[in-house]
Amino acid sequence: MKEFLTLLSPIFWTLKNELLSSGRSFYKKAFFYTLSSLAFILLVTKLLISGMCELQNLSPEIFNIILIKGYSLIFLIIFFVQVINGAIMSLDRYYQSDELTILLTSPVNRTALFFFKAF
Amino acid sequence: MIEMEDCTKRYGDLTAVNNLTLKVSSSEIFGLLGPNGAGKSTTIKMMVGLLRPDSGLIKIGGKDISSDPLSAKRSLAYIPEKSHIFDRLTAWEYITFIGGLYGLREEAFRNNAEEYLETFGLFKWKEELISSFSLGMRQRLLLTSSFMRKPKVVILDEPHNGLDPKGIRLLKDCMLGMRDEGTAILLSTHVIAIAEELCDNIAIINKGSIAAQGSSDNLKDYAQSDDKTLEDIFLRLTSDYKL
Repeated sequence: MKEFLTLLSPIFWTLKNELLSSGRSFYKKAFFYTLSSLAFILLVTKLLISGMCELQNLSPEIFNIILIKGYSLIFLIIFFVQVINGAIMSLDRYYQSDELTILLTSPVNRTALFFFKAF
Repeated sequence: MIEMEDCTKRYGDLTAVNNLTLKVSSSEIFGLLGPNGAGKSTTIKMMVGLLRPDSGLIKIGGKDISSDPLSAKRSLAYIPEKSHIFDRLTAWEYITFIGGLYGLREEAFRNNAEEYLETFGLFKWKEELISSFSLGMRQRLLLTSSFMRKPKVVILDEPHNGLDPKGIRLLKDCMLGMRDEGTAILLSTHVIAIAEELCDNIAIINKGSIAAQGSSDNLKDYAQSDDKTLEDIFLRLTSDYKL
């Protein structure tokens, strides 16, 4: 655990340094991305709600089936896409990392190194 | 301290390292010389655990790098030819990170780190981001982060790249000081004069095998010729160059 926390420390320090050394443009960018993300989430929620309202016009049985099965399916797909995406990103970062030489020649467990790169 | 026995590494049909046997004892600076593509970097990458040999055995500080890599790497410091370090960290954060990886105790780590930062002229830059450092300053930081751990084995691959004359002098002094304290040092370099000046033993490697090995004087005897300098011997052994 201590080893993993040590491996994570550059991420926190990098974030801190980015925040401290960034100019106004960085904060503008961060504000824009946050606003865009919130707008996207609101839009998706609105679409889902309006979809559900349409479904309610159908018979209650069909509505329940679609709600339970359809939503489960969507969440399962999102979950697996996230898992696969995470694994691919980790492998990519692991093998493309510039500082890998330094990390691989230090006494660090390779599994911990892989999970560190997942972040 | 470094033992390499009958190591071979192939890339497809190309044999990069062929049955190579090397031994570097404590309190010794061992020079590895060779032309481009001779197999020096492959040899070093196998020693530090970045590549696995197809056959042969490598021990660092008595530990097998293949079967017990963590123990072997704990006593090892490696300075790669091309150094990529965390750009968005300050020098001190980077050093603290390396200290953490090797589990150094806070007090000993702090004293050693400050001592080497001072030696390599980086102390006043320790709170600056590495991204603002020149190539030479990065190399000095890499040397600081390696030497502060007081490793038993140091492997340096072209460490003089990017260093100014003062940096080269500092590095030489550090290497000699560490050798006197019992460290085994393997130095791969193209600068023959540095190898001749620093190394107790030199191996000239060509086409993946050792062409000659011994002290600078022994190599001159081995060549049994009128060659006056190590450079002449190096060129005679590694190329078709007519002297």
